[in-house]
Amino acid sequence: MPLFRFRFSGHRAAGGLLALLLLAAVPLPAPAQKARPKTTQRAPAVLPPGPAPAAVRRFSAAELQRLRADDDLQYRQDPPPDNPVLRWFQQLLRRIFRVVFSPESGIYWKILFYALAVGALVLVVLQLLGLKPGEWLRGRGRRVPVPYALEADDVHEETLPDRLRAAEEAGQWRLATRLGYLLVLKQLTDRALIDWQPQKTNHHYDAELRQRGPALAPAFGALTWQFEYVWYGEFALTREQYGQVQAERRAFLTTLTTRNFAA
Amino acid sequence: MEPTPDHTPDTAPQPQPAAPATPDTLGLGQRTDLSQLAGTTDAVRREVGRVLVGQHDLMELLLVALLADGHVLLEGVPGVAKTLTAKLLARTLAVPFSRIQFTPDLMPSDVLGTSVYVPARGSFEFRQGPIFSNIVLIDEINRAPAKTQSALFEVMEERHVTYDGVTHQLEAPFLVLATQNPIEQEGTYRLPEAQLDRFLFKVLVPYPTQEEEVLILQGHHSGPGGLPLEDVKPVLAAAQLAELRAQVQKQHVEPRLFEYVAKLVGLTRTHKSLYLGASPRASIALLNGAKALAALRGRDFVTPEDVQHLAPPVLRHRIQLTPERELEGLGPDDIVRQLLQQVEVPR
Repeated sequence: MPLFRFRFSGHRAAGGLLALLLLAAVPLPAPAQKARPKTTQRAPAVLPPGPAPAAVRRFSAAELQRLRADDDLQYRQDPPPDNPVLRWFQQLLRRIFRVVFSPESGIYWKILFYALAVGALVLVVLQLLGLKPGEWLRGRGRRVPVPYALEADDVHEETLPDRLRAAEEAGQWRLATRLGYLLVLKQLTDRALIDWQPQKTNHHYDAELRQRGPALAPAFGALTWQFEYVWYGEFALTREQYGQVQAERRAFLTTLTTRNFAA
Repeated sequence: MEPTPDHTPDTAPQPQPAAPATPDTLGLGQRTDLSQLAGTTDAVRREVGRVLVGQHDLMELLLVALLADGHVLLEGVPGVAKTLTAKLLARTLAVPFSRIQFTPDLMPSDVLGTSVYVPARGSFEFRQGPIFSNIVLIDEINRAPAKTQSALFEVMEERHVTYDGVTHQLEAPFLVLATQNPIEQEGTYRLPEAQLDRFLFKVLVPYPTQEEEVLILQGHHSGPGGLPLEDVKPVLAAAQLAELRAQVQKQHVEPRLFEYVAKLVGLTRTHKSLYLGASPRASIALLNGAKALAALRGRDFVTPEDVQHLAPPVLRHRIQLTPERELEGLGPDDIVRQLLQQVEVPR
């Protein structure tokens, strides 16, 4: 079969090649050197003539001239244009260093200079560490502007009492409970008993009040419970029930405004 | 006559701040009777507390997960009672319990089950693996490679196993409690994100306080190993748990709280310090967890406090920080705290 023959002949060729490689790999014995007969003849006094002398190549003056004129091969660096601000700064530095380090200057100049240098170095290091020294110096290191995701129902809103009155007049007792609670938060915030922040829960305020006005904490806790029950629990209050909520809120606010609970 | 509005309180009387009536005294009443839930969960706590000292936050989160039908990943250094807590919780439930020790050579069939040839019938028969149980404790879950971890995807999310084209349903309740050690790196594998997302909570198990540790020592001093686990009695049956879960499902949620949860989780997807945000499954987990937590705290409605309380255990394993933030030493909990400060509480 042709395929068989091909494979067979292929094997044979490969075998032959392998044999050749093996033969090549076997080190052959070096041919025995013929013993040179000792000669007593001297070398001739005059060397035989060699090849013709090499032609000396010389640079083409015209080519050199052309290369010298080529703009691409001009490696000189133009001096930078004169910068008056830089020059003034250099002169200033020179003057400062002359004043600070001259033999006539006092030690105080040197101390001031080194203190400023160390301060600048510290600022650079703090900046590299991401500690924002600029904000520290401005006293804003701890406050981060927070982008609020929801529309804040600001407790400081001036219209809060009006909105509460409107809700009560409209018989919206649940809404009135909420606005009344916000009013309580406003009063507590105005007296620095809590630190109002939109992201805080009522329990944060409860904890703050336990620290700053512990006498008010139980009553506030109960008001909080009422608000959460009515607002988050979506309880439909009756007029009578709201009256009770309102009376308790009033008692709380009265106590708050007539006694000094400020921290 | 409608109640008169109050804006400027009178200054004449100076009463003590009277403790206002609670909603019950106002006659508001409780829409949902949570007494059974409170009684049962208290009983579970009591039984577990017979052996376990401290770890109250951990127990609360485990109960929340139990009520919210979610799996829990417990992470802590060796020796802080991760496995013990999981075993104790399992013992308080009158349901089958199995434990799988994950190892690097564990195969999916070792977990799910495999087909075995039955000569008498002349056919193959599916033999269920240890995952077919109600409470499954997977110890050292990060010691198995991703291939074996992937085998858990279906069963953890859909509560069934598909093998040879046949779907095998698991019985309810089905709860996976997995433990892992955050320190040891040798011979461990990072859990796939898809699997991490299937855990309701990742709970960090802390060291006990000094007082708790003294109690632990006193318990061991009185007898080797303290109270045996066998003395812990089951107090919650599967049917009972199903009832409690149905009750939790009906918890009341004010509509603006849905928006609050969605905003909170949505921010993880745009936060510049994160390259992987949380999925909608995280939003669902946060909501379900908040409902269960509210019930556990005796309320039939959710408050923003519930959502904030559960945000770290729900989100910490679902988000991934950018390498720059990790190099700065920030962790997922730091980012969750930032997120909580960026969203206004609905009030």
